[in-house]
Amino acid sequence: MRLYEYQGKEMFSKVGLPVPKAKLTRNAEEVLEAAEEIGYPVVLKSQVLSGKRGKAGGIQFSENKEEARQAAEAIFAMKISGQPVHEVLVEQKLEIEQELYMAISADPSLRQPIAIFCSEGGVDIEETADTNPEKIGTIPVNILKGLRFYEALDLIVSKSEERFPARTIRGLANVFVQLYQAYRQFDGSLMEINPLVITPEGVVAADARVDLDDDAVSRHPELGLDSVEDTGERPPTLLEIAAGKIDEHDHRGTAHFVQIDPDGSYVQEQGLIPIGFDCVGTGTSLTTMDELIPLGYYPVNFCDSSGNPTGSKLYRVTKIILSQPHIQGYLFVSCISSQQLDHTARGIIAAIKELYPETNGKPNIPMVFAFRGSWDDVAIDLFHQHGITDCPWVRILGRDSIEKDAALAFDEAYKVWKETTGGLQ
Amino acid sequence: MSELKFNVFSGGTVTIDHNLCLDCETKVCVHVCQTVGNGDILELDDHGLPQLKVDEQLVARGACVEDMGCLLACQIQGKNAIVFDLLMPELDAALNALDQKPVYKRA
Repeated sequence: MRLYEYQGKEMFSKVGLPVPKAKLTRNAEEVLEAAEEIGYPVVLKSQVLSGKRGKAGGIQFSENKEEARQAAEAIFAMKISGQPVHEVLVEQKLEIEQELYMAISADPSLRQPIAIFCSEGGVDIEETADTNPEKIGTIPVNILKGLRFYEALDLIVSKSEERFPARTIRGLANVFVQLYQAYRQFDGSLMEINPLVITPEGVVAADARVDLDDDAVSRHPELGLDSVEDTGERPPTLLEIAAGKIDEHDHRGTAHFVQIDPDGSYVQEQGLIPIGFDCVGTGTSLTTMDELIPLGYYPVNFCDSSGNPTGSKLYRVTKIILSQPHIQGYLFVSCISSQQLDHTARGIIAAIKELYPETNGKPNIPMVFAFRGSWDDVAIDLFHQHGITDCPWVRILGRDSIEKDAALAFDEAYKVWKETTGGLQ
Repeated sequence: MSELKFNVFSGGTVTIDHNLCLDCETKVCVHVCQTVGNGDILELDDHGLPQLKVDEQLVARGACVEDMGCLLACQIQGKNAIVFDLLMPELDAALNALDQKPVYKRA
């Protein structure tokens, strides 16, 4: 889960990392009040989950009230990477002598955290890694011992092109150790300060990029964050927040739900048919998507309900998937699963019967269910017993089917539905 | 007592209306719970009504595996006497904020 800059800086403050004096604002008037309180000159920073804020004009400096007003009005009217700006962080403008880069990141290949330092900050670190890899230093961190002060000191000195005063080097090493402390304390997957700036008053974190381990967010109620799947460079939708609560309250199995096209704009632009989607297993999701898209159907959400979830978990996540207003179908596919698929089926059936009470579970959109694995025969029988398969645009498949069969069955069901009903009004 | 009501681990309650159970000949909820549900938390009492055979605290801590077998079996073989009230306040908030109806409410 990626945090906003202001959330990252609040976290940094909790472990004693130096951050600029700042205030979060929600409109131009609040910006002016905050700027008066902090004192000019100030910097106005749009709070969006995008790494392109500066280039998009989402970060602006103001020397006085009039400049601050103009900048605030401009920023609040912006959309950056498709995201409207709802919040602006007003900060004191720092007197920067030098910009550096510092991070702690999880390294899956080493299976341990690494500390990263570069004497050139404020730029795209990936670009520096390509053009001047010798400028970036990394060391693995022993998770049992943590990042030692002398290890941080060695890394900083080895990659500093100019000799910093001893006081500055000690300050940088202290920041490194505190950054690692924040990484461990809050279950981070990435904690990045870019730029970390040297000012006449000392070292200050001018920016904060914080990614937390999604599965650990629920361990930190003190942060007040919603436990949701990683939604990349956009904030989670309300349906994603609702789905995040399912696993937060119940560890039995998983219900990973993310909206791929929340407002349906992509499918509209591409001329594809949006469908709700749930699979047991991520691999099954990908292979089924590969079969669906050439037929003209696009899953507008990803959902992995695996790990032997309870019926109630499927009930909840099915209700969430079917709450997407623009879908014109629903497809459930299990992999060759060892989970008890009759529990899965019961949750889905309970949700569908509740959502369609007037037809006793016969849906108003085409639906296909492919059950393959343990208790798949019981799962299929349940759909027949409850009369859901009596609907002309519902298909159910068993263990003799592959992902392509599920996609083709959906195509057939969709065409019957479209021909019979004309589609949704 | 006219009903059996207990909390479940994921948040919410299960209620069994004993007034309806009085006319039920199958008592299928107990059968399903004891055979396919893995939880085995229901039994018939001396009056032939479903009751918890496991401590209520243990049920709320996960002894009820929430497979929803009792609910569905009762709907088609019993008297439709069971209600699962599984809380989802965040979904309610999401639905209130939607600018379109969810698909299941569309014509």
